[in-house]
Amino acid sequence: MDQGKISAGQLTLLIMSFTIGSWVVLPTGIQAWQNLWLIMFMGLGTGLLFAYLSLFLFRRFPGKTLFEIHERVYGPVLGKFISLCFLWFFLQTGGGTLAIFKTLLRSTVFTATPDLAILVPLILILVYGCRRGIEVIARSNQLLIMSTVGLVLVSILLVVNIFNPENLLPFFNLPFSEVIWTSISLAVFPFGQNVLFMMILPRVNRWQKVNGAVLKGMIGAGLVLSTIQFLAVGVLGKSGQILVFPTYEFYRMINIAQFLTRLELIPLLNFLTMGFIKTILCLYALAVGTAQVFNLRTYRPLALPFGLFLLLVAERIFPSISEHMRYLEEVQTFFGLIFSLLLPMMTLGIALLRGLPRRRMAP
Amino acid sequence: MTGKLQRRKRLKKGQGLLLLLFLVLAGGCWDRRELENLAVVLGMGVDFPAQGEGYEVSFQIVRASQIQTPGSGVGGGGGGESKPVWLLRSTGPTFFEAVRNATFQSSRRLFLSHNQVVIISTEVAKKGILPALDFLIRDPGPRNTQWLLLTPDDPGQLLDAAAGLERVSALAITDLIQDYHLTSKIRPVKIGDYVEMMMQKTSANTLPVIRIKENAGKKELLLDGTGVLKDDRLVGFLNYKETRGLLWILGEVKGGLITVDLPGGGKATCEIFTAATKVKVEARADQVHVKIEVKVETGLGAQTTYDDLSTTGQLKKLETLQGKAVEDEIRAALAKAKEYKADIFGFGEYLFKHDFRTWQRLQKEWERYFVDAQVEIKVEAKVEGIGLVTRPANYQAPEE
Repeated sequence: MDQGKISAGQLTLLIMSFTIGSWVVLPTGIQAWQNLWLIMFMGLGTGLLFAYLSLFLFRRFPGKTLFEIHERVYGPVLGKFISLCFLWFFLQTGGGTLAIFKTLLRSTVFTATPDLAILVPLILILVYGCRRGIEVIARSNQLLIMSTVGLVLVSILLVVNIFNPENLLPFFNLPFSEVIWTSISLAVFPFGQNVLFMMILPRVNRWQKVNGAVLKGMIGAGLVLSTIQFLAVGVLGKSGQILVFPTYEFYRMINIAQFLTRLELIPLLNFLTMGFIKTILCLYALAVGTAQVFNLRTYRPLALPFGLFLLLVAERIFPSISEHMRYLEEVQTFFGLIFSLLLPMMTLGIALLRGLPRRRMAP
Repeated sequence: MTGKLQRRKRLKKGQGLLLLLFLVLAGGCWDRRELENLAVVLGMGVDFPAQGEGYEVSFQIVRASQIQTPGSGVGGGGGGESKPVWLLRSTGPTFFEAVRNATFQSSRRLFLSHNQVVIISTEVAKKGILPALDFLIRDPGPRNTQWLLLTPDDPGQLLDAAAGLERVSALAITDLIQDYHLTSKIRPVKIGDYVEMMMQKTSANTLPVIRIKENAGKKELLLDGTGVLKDDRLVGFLNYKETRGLLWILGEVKGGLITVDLPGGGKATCEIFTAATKVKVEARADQVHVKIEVKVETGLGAQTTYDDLSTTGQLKKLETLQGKAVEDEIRAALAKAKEYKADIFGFGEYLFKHDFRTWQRLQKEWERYFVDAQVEIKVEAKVEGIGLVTRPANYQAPEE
């Protein structure tokens, strides 16, 4: 098993990348358009509630991954079954991310490149990174997330001449029910998917610092996403609503004195790295989780087959962007709610009822 | 020994990574296109074909080899062959098909990313523009900064018309459009702006009109007023004066001239230095009230009388006259827009942004509210400059 350790700071950055991940390219809740950046904070609040529920569970079983907790709480058979369900969740999250970035690349820059020519090299790097363990992932992420945050800060300056604050009006023109629904769907995706970190938390060298790290990471990600959405609305206006990739499109509009134009490839690369980190964490959780379910000594040989499996999911479960968008709109919220809220809540409830963990078992 | 082995192992790993890097980068070369195999399109025209369904698209394609700095010239040439552009017409059931069908005639594949202008015939505009141009919005190639124009003439012929000082008429049109601030009697619209206006439920769109002007047997270009499009369909036109009125209300007047008739005969023309507009829309009871406040600063540029207009008293009179002229232009635009029942000023959008609840109530019958709207206009004109002279050379002060 991976014995690598990461610091709490690295965890914060990993959470940021993972949350920014694919939402930044294919936002959900687009019907709320000019209010989305505000609703983002409501979604963040709700998402933090979900996260703290899981963290509460983790703090009762420090040093244990989610799957080990399952076995403790439910017993070996039922525990393994629930863990398998989570594996499916990780698979779908990772495959979805891959699919989003494949579509983004294919519909913008690599218009004639076959899917496999994009995906196979990507998968090979993912597998390579996954086999190197969490330490390597965390360290490479430090660089990538810094450049993304830097990009967001710079883009505030770059859009000054095309930003129209009038586009942000009116605030709060949505019916209340829609605001609630959108914030819940935001809490589930992107914030709720952070339940995956339950597989990684035991790798943090000081578990006492985990709570703060998660809080900082999620707030940081929320700020980044909200800023990008804010800028996109101000720049694109209402016509952003009909775009498939509004964030990409808004970087296309940047035009400083007819000189600094066509910058969209820089954010494209940046977002791609965020999606890369998200997918690699899914792959890592898949491999480690499977190894734990089947009591294997090491997860490394599983990286390649699961990488290929992700490719399959990306190609088969999300065959087209309109199906993907429909999935995000109609299914994702319910599907995600089961994993980021209901199952952890149930586990926590049963653990409390059974009085687990018993004193002597605490490390 | 082990050191050497380790080094070799590391080398192998490095080679593997390098290979992976090439693999990733090479993915982008899949649809590489060399410059000499591209036909760069700078202007496009959309019309209905003479017979059959679909669209007829004209492309203005650059002959790269013919575009060179004057002086390094091809010397003798001078025949029809040295024309720097090539006009190609192609038809198809959709715009996209027409683009692809062009490869029946063009040895090179059309490259649309650098296209500058799209000229739409009024026939197409009457049937709806978005169905014709959907491809240009959907495809990642063409940019949404392309200028949109209407023409009552054949767009193909228009693109083929003489380009004045430029060698490529599409670029000439781009320059014509971008110089709008010299007169402020034309309203340039980009394809992105057009889509944005379409998203606004109560607003109507405008597009500039360009047409062919015959001059001594030669065809030349002329920007001529504005077309009004309601719900994506052409419903009427505005002349120069009405277009200026539209620009006043939108706050897009950036320059231009105001000419007024002087009470004692003759005319005076002032150049606009700065202009600012404030619009406020309110719904009281069952009527929409619009307040338009224009502040304009000008300088006296030309006069056709022998009077001394440069005195403070005369300038004050000139200011009042100018204020009236501006109000006149605004009234003219309002009257035309109300006649077409087209909210080209975005009054409804103002309500949407600043008073959402009222907008929700009025939007269904916005047309009626727009036509009945009460408009209050306040113009504050100031003449600040008089140029380099005070009075005409032969001016004599009247004796008391």
